[in-house]
Amino acid sequence: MYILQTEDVIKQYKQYDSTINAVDRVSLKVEFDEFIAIIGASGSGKSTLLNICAGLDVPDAGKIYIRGNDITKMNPNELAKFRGRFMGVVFQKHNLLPQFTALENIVIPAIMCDQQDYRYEEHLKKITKALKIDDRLHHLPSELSGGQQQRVAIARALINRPQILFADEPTGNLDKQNANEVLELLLNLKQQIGQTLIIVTHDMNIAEMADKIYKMDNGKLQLYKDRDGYKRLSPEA
Amino acid sequence: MDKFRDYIHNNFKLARKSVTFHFKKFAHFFIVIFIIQFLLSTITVSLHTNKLNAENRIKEQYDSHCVFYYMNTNQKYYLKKCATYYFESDHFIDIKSIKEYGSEEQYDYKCDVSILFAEDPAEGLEYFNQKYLPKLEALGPVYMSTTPLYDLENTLFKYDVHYGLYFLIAVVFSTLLLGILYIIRSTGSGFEYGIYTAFGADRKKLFNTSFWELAVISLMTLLPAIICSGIFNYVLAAKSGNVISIGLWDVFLTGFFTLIVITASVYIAISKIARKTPVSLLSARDNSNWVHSPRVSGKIFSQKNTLKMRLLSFRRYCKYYATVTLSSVLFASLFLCGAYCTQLFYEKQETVFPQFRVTYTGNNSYSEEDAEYFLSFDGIVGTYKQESTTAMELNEHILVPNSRTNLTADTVEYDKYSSAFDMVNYFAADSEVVRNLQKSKHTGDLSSVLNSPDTVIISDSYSNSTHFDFNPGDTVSIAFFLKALSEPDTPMHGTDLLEFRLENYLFYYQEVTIGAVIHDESAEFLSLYMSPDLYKKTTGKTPEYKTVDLYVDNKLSSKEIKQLYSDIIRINQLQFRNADNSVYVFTENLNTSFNNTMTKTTELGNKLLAISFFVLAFSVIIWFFAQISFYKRRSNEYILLSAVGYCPRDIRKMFFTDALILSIMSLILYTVFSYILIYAVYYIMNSWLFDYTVRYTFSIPVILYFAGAFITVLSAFLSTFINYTIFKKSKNTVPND
Ligand SMILES: Nc1ncnc2c1ncn2[C@@H]1O[C@H](COP(=O)(O)OP(=O)(O)OP(=O)(O)O)[C@@H](O)[C@H]1O
Ligand SMILES: [Mg+2]
Repeated sequence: MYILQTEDVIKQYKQYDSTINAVDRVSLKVEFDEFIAIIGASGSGKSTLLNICAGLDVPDAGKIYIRGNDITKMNPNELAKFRGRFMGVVFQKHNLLPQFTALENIVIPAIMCDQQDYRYEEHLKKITKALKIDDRLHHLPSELSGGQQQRVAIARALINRPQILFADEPTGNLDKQNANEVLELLLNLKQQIGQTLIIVTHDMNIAEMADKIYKMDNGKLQLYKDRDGYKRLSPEA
Repeated sequence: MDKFRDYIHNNFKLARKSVTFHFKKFAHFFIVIFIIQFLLSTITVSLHTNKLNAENRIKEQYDSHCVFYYMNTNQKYYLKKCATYYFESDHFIDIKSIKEYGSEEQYDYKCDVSILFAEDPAEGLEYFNQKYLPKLEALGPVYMSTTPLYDLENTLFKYDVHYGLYFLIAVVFSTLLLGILYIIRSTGSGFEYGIYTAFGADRKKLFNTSFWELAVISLMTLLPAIICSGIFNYVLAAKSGNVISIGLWDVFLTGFFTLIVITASVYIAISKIARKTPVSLLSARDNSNWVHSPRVSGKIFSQKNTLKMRLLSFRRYCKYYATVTLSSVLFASLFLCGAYCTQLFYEKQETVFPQFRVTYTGNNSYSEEDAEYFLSFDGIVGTYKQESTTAMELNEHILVPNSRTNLTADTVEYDKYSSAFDMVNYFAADSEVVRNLQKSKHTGDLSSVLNSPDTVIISDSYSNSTHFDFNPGDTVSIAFFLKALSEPDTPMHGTDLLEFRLENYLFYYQEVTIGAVIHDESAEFLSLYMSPDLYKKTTGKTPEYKTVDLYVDNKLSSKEIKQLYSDIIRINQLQFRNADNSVYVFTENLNTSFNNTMTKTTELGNKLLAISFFVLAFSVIIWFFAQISFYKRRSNEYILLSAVGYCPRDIRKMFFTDALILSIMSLILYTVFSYILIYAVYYIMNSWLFDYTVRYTFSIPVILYFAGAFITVLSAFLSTFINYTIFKKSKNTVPND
C-alpha cells in the first residue's frame, strides 16, 4: 500500500471561454518513508497539485488515496479531522495568524484536532530548538523576520507529528545556510518518525537530496529522477 | 467535570486573546451585541413591568370576580346562604361587598352583590351556574357580569404571548444582523478559518472558536446593556406612571437569548464557511473572495474618468456591494415598516369598540324607543344594532357593472356588461342606521335610501379591501331567487357555486340606484343597505334586532363606566319589567375601555417604534462595519496608486465617487424595499388576519421615511468616505503582503 496515491487527478480553472489545466491527469504513487521533490516552472501547477493532495482543495476529477482512504469521498468535516490527524502543511506564503504569538501559532493544530492525552511539549521543544526559534516563541509574527516566520510555519506543520508532510517551498524565504539546516531537520525527523515528505522547490540542491524528483510542466507530472539517477523524460509523457 | 472545566477554560482563554488583541476589529461586535442585549433586556424588563402593573391595576380596581346587579332581598339572602353552601361543598365564595339602593324595608329595595371565588374563578362560576343560578333566577331577574379580575389569568397570559412575539422578532432580527455581519467578516477574511481547517479544525471546532469570541464579548457587555435599558425603561415608565422592576430573572433572560442569537448566527455563518475549501479561504487575506472575475481586463489605470473607473471596480466587487447594500437597506426598510406597524397599532387603538352589549331574548327586540332610552344616559354616545342576511345563504347575488369592478373581485361574468357577485350582506336601513353610517367615509346622500324604495347604499369593499369603484347614480341589480332546476352533486364553494347557481337556478332581477357609497369599510362582506320594504322583499324577513352594542364616551374612567353600567341595568329593570319577572334583556359589560387603558399604559406602540429605531441602527452598523473592514483590506490598492503617482486629490475623488454611487443606490433600494414591505404589511394586516373590526390604511410615514432615507444615505456616504480619512492618516507607503 502506498501512503499517497493519486489517479488521474484533474484540476481546471475555467474563466468564461478559456480553460487552464492547472493539474492534468496526474497519477502519482508515494511510498511510506519516501522523500519526493517536485520542481517546475512558475505557474506549472505545483502548488495546485500539492493543495489537492493535502486535501485543501478539491480536484475536478480523479481519486486521491491517503493511507488507503479516498479523501475525495470524504465530507469537509471528516477531511478536516483527517488532515489534522495525518497531514502537515507548509504553505508557500507563511500564513501565520497575526494575533497569536509564535508559540500559539505552532500549537494551533494540536488544539484544533482534539487528540486525547496528546502531549506535545517534548516534541515542541525539540523542533523549536532545531528550527532555532526557541528564543522567539513569545513574539508576534509581525515581530519576526521573514525567515523566522517561515520556520514557525514549519514548526506548526510538524507539531502533530504528521505521517505525511506537504511543503510548498519551505525554504523559499531562507538563506542558503538556513535552508540546508531546515532541510536537515526535516530529514532527521523523517528518519525518527518515519515521515513521508513531499516538497515543492525551486532549489535544485534541495531537490537533489530527495529520493525522487518529479517535474511539473503545464499541469503534467513526469518523473525526472529516481533513486538510480536521472531518468530521461520521454518526449510525449 | 474537570474535562468540562478545562474545555470552557481553554476555549475562553483562546477567545479572550483573540478579542483583546483584535479589539478594534471586534469593536463592531461589541456595539452590536450591546445593542442586541439592550433590546432583549428592554423586552424582558417591559414584560416584567407591564405584567406587574396590569396585575396591580386590576387588583387595585376590582376586588371581586363577578357582580350580581340589582338583586332583591330574597336574592341577596340566597346569595349569602350560597356562601355557606359553598363552604360545605369545598368550594368557597366570598361576598366582597353589597351596594344597597334604599333600605330593606322598602318594597323596591335592590342591591348589587360582588362575589369573589376563592378557587379558580372559571371553575367557581361554572359550579355556581350549575348549582345555584336556577334558584337565583327563580327569585327574580339576574344580571351578572364578570370583572377584569375574573379574566386576570387570561390577561396576564396575553401579555406573555405578546412579549413572546416581541422576543421572537428581536431574536430573529438580531440573528439576521449578527449572521450577516459574520458572513461579511468571514467572507472577507476567511483566512483565519482557512488556517484552522487546514490544520484539522472541523465544523464543530470552527463553531467553537467563533462562538467563544462572541460569548466573551457578550459577557462583557451584558451588565452595561441591562443598566442602560433599565434607564430607558424607567423613562418610558415614568411617562405612564408605572413602576419598573429589574431582577435577576431579566439578567438571566437577556443572557439566555443573547446566547441563542449568538449560537444561531454563528451557526449560519460557519455553515457557509465550512462548505468552502481551505484553499479558497486562505486566498482571502485581501478581498479576493469578493472579486468577480472579469472576461477581459478593463483599461482601469488609463481611465481618466473617475466615475467610469469606479463603476468598473464596482462591477468587480458586485458580490460584496450587493451583500452590504442589500442587507443594510433591508434593515432600513424594516425600520420604516416597523414605524408603519406602530402607526397601525395606534390606528387600532383609536378604533372605538363597544363598551356594552345588550342582547334581547324571547320575543323581544330592539326598537326606536330603546335607542332613545339608551342615548338618554350621560356617557353613552352611540348605539349599533345588527341584523343582516347574506346573499349567499339566500342563493342570491347582485349584478354589478363590469366597468365598476376591479380585477381582484371574486365575480362571475354574467353578460357583456355585468358580473354576478354574492359575498354581499343585506342590511335594512332606517334613520338610526343612516345616522351611524354618517360617521363613515362616504360619497353621495345617505338619507336618499330612506326616501326612495329603489335607492340603496353600497360599500366598495369586502374582505377588508377595496374591490369596486361605485359612484352615486350607478345602478346594480338585485337577484331574487325563484327556483332551483338542479342542485350540485358535490359540495361547492365560492365562485364555483355562484357559477353553478347562475346556470341552474332561476332568478328575476330588480334594478336599484346607488344613492351613496361607503368607502374603505372594514367588513368581511360587501354591505348593501336598503329600505325595509326592499329588505323584506329580498330576504323574506322583517328586520328585527336582537343585539345592540352601546358605545361610551372614551373619556370615562372605569369607575364611571361601572356606575353607568349599574344605572342602565337598574333603570332598564324598572321600565322593562315583565309581569312574570322573567329575564328578557341581558346587558353585558365588555370592559373595553378598561382594556384600552391597560393597553395604552404598556406603551407597546412606543416600544415598537423604539425597536424600529434599533433596526435602523443595525443598518448603520452594517454599513460602517462592512465598509471599513472592506477598505482596510483594500488599502494596498490605494497605497499602490499613490506609489504610481496618484495625488491625494485623485484618491479623494475616488472615495467620493464610491460614496456617491452607494448613496444613490441605497436611496433607490430603500425606497423600493420599504414600499414593498409596507404594502405587504398593509395587505396582510387587512386581508390575512380575518379581523374585520379595523380597516388599516396604507400610508408611508413621511417624516420617518425621510429620517430613514437621510440616515441610510448619510451612513452609506460616510462609511465609504471615512476610509479616505483612515487612508490619509495611515503612514503606510509600502504595500504589505
Ligand atoms: N484560483 C485560480 N483561478 C484561476 N487560475 C488559477 C487559480 N489558481 C491558480 N491558477 C492558475 O493555475 C496555474 C497553476 O498555479 P500554481 O499556483 O499551482 O503554480 P505554481 O506551479 O505553484 O507556481 P509558482 O512556482 O509560481 O508558485 C497557474 O497558471 C495559475 O494561473
Ligand atoms: Mg506555487
